[in-house]
Amino acid sequence: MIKKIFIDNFRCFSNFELHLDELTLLIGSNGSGKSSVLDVIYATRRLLSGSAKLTDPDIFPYETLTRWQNRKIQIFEFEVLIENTLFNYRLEVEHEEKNRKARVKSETLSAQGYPLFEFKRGDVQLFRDNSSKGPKFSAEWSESALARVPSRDDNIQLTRFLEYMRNVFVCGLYPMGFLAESKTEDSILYRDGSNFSSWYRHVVQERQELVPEFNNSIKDLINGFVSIRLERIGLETRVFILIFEHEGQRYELNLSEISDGQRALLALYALINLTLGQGNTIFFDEPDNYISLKEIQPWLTTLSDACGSLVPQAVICSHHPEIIDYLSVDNAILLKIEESGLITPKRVELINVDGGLKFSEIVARGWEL
Amino acid sequence: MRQVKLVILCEDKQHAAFIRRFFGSAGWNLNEIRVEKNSMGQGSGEQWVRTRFPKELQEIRRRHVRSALITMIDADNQSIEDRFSGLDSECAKAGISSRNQDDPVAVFIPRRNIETWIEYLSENEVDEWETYPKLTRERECADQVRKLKEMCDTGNLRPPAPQSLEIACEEYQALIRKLNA
Repeated sequence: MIKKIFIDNFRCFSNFELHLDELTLLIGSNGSGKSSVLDVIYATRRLLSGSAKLTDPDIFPYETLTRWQNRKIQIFEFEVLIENTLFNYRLEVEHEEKNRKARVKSETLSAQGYPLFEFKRGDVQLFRDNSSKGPKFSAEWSESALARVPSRDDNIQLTRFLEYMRNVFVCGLYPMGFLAESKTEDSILYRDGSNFSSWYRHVVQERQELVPEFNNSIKDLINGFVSIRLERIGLETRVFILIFEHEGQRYELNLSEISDGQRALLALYALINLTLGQGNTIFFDEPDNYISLKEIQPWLTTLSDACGSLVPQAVICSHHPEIIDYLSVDNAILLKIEESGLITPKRVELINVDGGLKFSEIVARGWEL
Repeated sequence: MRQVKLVILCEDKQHAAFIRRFFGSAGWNLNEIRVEKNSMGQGSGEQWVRTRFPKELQEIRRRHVRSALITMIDADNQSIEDRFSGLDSECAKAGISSRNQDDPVAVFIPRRNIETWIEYLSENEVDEWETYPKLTRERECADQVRKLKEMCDTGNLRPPAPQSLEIACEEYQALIRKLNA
């Protein structure tokens, strides 16, 4: 579970420290940085997966430096608790003003305070699980050197951390963009969910036993739904087909033929029911978009029940009163824009908001501040 | 089209987790259960449920579809009778009649609170005036709820049972009779 995220010199975050629980609700007005937190997590996960570099335009570009500061170094730090071991990962990104290039200034990983990995001035120093010094080698400045470390018998801790971070999901679903056709099996669902078919295809291969429970949950949500099949239409290509039954008559629709809300529901329930063993922490960016009002609470109760087991950790960013009231003050962290322009996180339970109003009504009035 | 069949009006997440599981194990579709709980966290739950009760009671009376209202409110340091009359007073204030025998409504009042029942259902003896620890996660009451369902099915609570749980079981049985009538 991700216990703490520290962000410095990124957009409106300066010395920003966010503590997360098993289930956390992030609230705050527009521009308070909820999606920016998710941007940092998504970029870090991609760097640690080895699928992105600092030369990519969407990975900590120069424009993300806090505008009113002159410092050119960004710091991103994660505290992650995995089976009673506390990992600390720190990434320092240095930007050059002249050519607007970014590079890794330093990258370190430790477990329980003992170093596992250090990347400084272009050199990597590995440490074995028993803390003794391991191999040393040179690495690229533009990417995560940690992502390049292969799994070995003497770096089990490092590998566990990498596997955890590579299975962090960040989702701001855009169901209009879901593709019915899949050409590959994808182990990770993209942030916008566009590769849902390819991710489902991977899950079906890897964890077939999870599918019946998922199908049952969907039967209750989508009228007439029976099951899903992946139809082969080429050597590698499959189409995501939903089978329906109405008055004894079976018919089929492909993923692009059902509604946006139904696609969103499929993905939201799949993220709970099909991520067992892979979705270590799931960040949901406004999951209430597209789905009808009456579907929000059943999904939330399913997620709440799954938190700590099927879904080890979930973080939801939302403005929706259904979500705000269900998760309540206990789970909420308010991202507050200070007069300086910086963002500070506040535990809402510490603010005096007692009275006859619902929590969402307090938030709607801005009285939680 | 799916409609809500059961409204749970309760103080907090622990109440909601306990009741949802209980009715889920009794065969209710969890997607047809709606939870209305205090969203302001600890401290003001009893007042929130009490003041909300008349509105929910009125709504249940108006519905044409078969639906029921489950209310849970901790007795805390009050008597169970005091809590029942507190709900009646709120109904009077709202200008509606108190809950009557025909209303598809069950009111559960754990004394001292829900943790007392959870402790009893964990095979321990309890004193209804004592305070017992909260669970780390609300959903960890699943085993205790299963035991309660088993005892309900046989019609016998393990003696010595908390009086408040015996009253709640009577409320549950009366509700089921009304719904099956």
